[in-house]
Amino acid sequence: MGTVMDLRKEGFHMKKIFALLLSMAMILAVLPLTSLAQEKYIIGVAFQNVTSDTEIQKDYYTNELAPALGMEFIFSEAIKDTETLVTFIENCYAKGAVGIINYYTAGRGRGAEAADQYEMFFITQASKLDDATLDLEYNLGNCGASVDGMARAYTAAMESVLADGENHSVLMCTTAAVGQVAASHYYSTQAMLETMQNKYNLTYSKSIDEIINTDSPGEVDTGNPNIKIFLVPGTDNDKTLATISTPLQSGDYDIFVAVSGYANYTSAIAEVERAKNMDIKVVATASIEKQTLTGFTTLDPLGNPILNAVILNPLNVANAFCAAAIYNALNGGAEALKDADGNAAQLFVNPWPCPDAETYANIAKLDTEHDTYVINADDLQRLMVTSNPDANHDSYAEYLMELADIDAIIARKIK
Amino acid sequence: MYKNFGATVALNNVSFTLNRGVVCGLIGENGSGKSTVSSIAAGMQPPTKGSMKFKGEPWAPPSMLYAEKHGIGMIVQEAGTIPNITVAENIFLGHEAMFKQGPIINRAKMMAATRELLEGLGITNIQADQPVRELDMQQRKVVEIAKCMYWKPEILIVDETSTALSQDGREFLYSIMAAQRDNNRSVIFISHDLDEMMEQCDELTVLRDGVIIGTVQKADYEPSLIRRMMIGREIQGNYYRDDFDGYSDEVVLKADCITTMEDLLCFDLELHKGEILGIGGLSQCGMHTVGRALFGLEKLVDGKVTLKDGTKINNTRTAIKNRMGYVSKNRDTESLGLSASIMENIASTGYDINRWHGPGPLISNRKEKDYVDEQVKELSIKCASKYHNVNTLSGGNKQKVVFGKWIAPDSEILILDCPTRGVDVGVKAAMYQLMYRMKKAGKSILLISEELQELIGMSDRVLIMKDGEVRLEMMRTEGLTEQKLIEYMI
Amino acid sequence: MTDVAIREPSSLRNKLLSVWENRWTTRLMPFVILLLIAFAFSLATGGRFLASRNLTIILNQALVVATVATGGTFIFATGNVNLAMGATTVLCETVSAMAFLAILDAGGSVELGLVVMFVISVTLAVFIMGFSAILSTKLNVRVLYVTIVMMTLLAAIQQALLGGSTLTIPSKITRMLANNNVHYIIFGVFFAFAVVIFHFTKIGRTLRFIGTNEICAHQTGKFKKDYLLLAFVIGGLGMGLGAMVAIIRSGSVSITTLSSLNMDTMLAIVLGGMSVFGGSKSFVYAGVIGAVTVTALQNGMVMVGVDSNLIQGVRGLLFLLLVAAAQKRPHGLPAPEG
Repeated sequence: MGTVMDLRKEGFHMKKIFALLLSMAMILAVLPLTSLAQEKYIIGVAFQNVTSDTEIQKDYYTNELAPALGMEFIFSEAIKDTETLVTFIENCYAKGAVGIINYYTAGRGRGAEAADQYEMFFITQASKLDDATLDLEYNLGNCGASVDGMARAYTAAMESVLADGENHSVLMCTTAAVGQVAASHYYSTQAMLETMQNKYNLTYSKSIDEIINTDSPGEVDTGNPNIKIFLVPGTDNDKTLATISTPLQSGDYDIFVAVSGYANYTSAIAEVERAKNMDIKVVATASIEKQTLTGFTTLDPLGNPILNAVILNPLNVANAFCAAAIYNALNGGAEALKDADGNAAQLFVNPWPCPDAETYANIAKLDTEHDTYVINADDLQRLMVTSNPDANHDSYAEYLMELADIDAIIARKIK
Repeated sequence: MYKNFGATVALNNVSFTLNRGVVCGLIGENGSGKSTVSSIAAGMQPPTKGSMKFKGEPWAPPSMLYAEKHGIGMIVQEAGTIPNITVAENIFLGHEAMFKQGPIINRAKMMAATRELLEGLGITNIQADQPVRELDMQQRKVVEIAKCMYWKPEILIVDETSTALSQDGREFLYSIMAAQRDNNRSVIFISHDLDEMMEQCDELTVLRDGVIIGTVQKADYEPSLIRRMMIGREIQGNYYRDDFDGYSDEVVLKADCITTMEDLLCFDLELHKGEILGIGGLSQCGMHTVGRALFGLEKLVDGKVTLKDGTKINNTRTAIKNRMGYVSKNRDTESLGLSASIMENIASTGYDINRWHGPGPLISNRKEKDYVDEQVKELSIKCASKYHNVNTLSGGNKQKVVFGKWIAPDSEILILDCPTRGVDVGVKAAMYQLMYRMKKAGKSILLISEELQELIGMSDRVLIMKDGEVRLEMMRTEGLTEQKLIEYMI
Repeated sequence: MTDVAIREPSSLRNKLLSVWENRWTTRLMPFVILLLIAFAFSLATGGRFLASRNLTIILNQALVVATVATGGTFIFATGNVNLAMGATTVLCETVSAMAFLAILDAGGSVELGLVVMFVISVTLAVFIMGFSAILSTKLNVRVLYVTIVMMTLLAAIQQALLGGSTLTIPSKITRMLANNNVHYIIFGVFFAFAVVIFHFTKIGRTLRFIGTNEICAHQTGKFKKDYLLLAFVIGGLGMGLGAMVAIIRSGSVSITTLSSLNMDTMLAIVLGGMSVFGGSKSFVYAGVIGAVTVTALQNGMVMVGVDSNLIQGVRGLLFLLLVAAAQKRPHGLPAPEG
């Protein structure tokens, strides 16, 4: 009816006006009334994954590093691709950030460029530098896991689980090993494949490099039908969980290895152990957190601990060095952090091998409060140019070597 | 009573009385306010100012459901049923609580009540549990009528419903209206068909521009007087043609033994230059299919449609390229983009004409504007702006837009299917005059219509169809009457 | 239809109503909303929001969606919804990046690699979209369903090609392209092309008319199957070019790249003032305005310190309100005819 149309039209116009007014009220309502004057350095932290240890890291950033360095940290959601990283960097710039600590290794090149464009200092937690961005003024380089250290640690861990002389088959999550996106992942995987090869005299049909760089999951041709190796690449935890399901449930694999975290997979592993009445040994990278202790102390259905060996990633050590590096750059020390040619440089953090629950019990006391942080506000002074004018790349590397000795750290920190 | 819609005044101090046992016709051009009066009475909307009394008591219905339940029911012009539910569910839409037993609706009871209602009204070809989407347009309208009659309304309002019905449907509606009168109840009947109104109504109230001009009793009916009251002026010239000019021998369009999937079997037709060829019959006789087939809208199983140069017409693109035009009987769904502007609708046939430079790809906005302006002016399309949507126009003006669309590219052959349906008398007169002018200019028109008077009044030659065949062909002569044609239709 | 005569407005209220009902109001409303947002955030940030660098950030963040959405408006104008825009763009990004890297590995020049990358991206996108259109018209299946199937298929192909790896274009090259404003040029040229085609040629007018009333369009000699193919081809062009813009912006592609592109594109088109039912109220700039509005909104909220957890919620609510203000809704159940 024409008349009904007019009625509706009139009502519709009123709704339009109302909606527009409400929109403007909403926009104005979210505007805070606080001053915009910058009191602290604002630093963006771009996490690659958000897992159980992320909260521990956030606490460390907020409670220990921030007051000591006069910083305020903005944390991202999980960064899954370069586009998201670039957007996060841009949003940080919008908020007045002056530095970025980046965890998304695949995006370190493009991220460095974006940060450089907005004159923000940029440092990545990775083990391999991006050659194309070494010369960028604001790129400070990397502070990541020592590839040699990780390789040694994984070799030791594998040797310990293979020590019984029996045949074992291994399911490996290689995460970002393909293409050395994360160099530590690549070298850790290489170390384990070499260990298996040496232990069982395996003859791989392809080179280890080719095996690691296969970007789809699959079984490795080991030349020995009694020894199976299944590799699963990929940084998406959910997809990896779905992929490992079939080989895991076959019951053929009694060792599970992850070059990064393992927490996502414990339920699936426990289920198979129960169903097949078998013990699956777990070797993985972990952090100092409650879950790791639980992994060592909780028993699986066959009475064995869930975790057998971990390579502890001293995350907060890397976090402290990254934040301090940016602090120094902001206080005139940027060049000191670079290499002799003035390019972005690499710093290596050594992992702490932890073969059993007893060892972990001691380590677990670290990083819980100010006095037990491996690098607390007092230790930070050594890294800050404002209190230690000699702080530079070499002194950082030296300090990191000292921190490889976990026993010394425990002796110092745990009274 | 007053009623405003924003800037627009729909009713201006209208006072109206309806007596018991009377069938009152409300008549006026589009925009006169007749539907507004009835919709206010039926509870569709409140007046801006003024009051109503129903059976001596104040009457201000908050909704149509309320009005329906308390004595005033309305059958609307547009589709008033919901296709994907049953006939029974449609009839009792909004009143399902009547059949509630606890939290559950007793569907069996609803079905039984529907069957009783349909039987009582003499409706035998519709089942209570049938989904409405299975019914054709006419049957759906019958369901609406039944829905209204369930409540035994004291006042039944029929708003331009008859135009959508065929002869059978209209007879059914008239019988309902007569029964209302016989039961000392009343009817408000709104239609554009003056002849129908004069036949069915006891009195006619004429509105114009939101004001009541006057009421004429049956004894005083006089068509030209009523038309004058509606329009406010004399209609210049005759309503229909009064000439016997004839047409050329040249055949411009030929249907050669065409057979379609349904309706037509080896159908032949020739249209001549300067001819208005009328085709009439009952709704399902196949005449609408003829129009579609000639324009390339129907797939031909056999036979061909050709122009004078032998070009075969097998799709609309070819037809239009050869300067043919088609006005569908389903104006709103097929001939117009309702949510587009008048400008866009008329310009839609000019994309190849209004180019910037010759056959270049760009369209000239200025040329397009001129293309449309010419039609708005020539056809006196009443609109605030050519950029307003077509759905803001009255039925008559919408039809003018459709005409304008096909006249603008200077179509040589026009197929008009029920072109004056739902159009008020002033616009009808203008259209007839336009058709005549086109004929005189050498254009050819195929006029398909369910109104015999129109066919007799306008055609050079009339074909009457039944069951897909031509049963009668009559030339334009002075003594041609409806009676001579009807027996060949039925 | 209206049963009322048209009267001249006489009061201020009537004059305002006339302005509101004016066709230019509908066209300009999205711009007005964007300006209001810019004004509000500029006030709140002491002018920082309107700093050239920040505006550049907004433009860069919006550019991929704006490019894809510009092509998308051709499809949406016909009243059809395409859910495979994101998957097509990402697959083109993947294949063209693979081709580029293969050429470099084989010793080919960077220039050759770039040309091949561009050609492959555009050709593949046009092919995919053209194929989708033909599938829809030949099998007489709604575009929506065909594109749902294509979306899944293309995602599977990308998964098979990429697995868990990330393809990275050397940052020197993306930096070079960005410094030479190649992404802006790509968008600018495509946008200009789209404006001309959509608003000044038969193609654009016909697509809108098909979206308004397909049957009426058919009766005026405009066949949906022909024009739908054209719409998809132009849409595909936008996707192929959008893939190039994405490569320049991020320099890499993985399985999660641009995962929300399709939704972002549809949101941008709707927020830019275009009806989801297409038809005459379709404007080629809708995608651009919508993309910039979305990004500006997000950027502004970040700048003023809205908690990141709240931003998504506030964004969603604001979108609902802004769409309610800008969109004309059909008077009944969703249907193509207004």
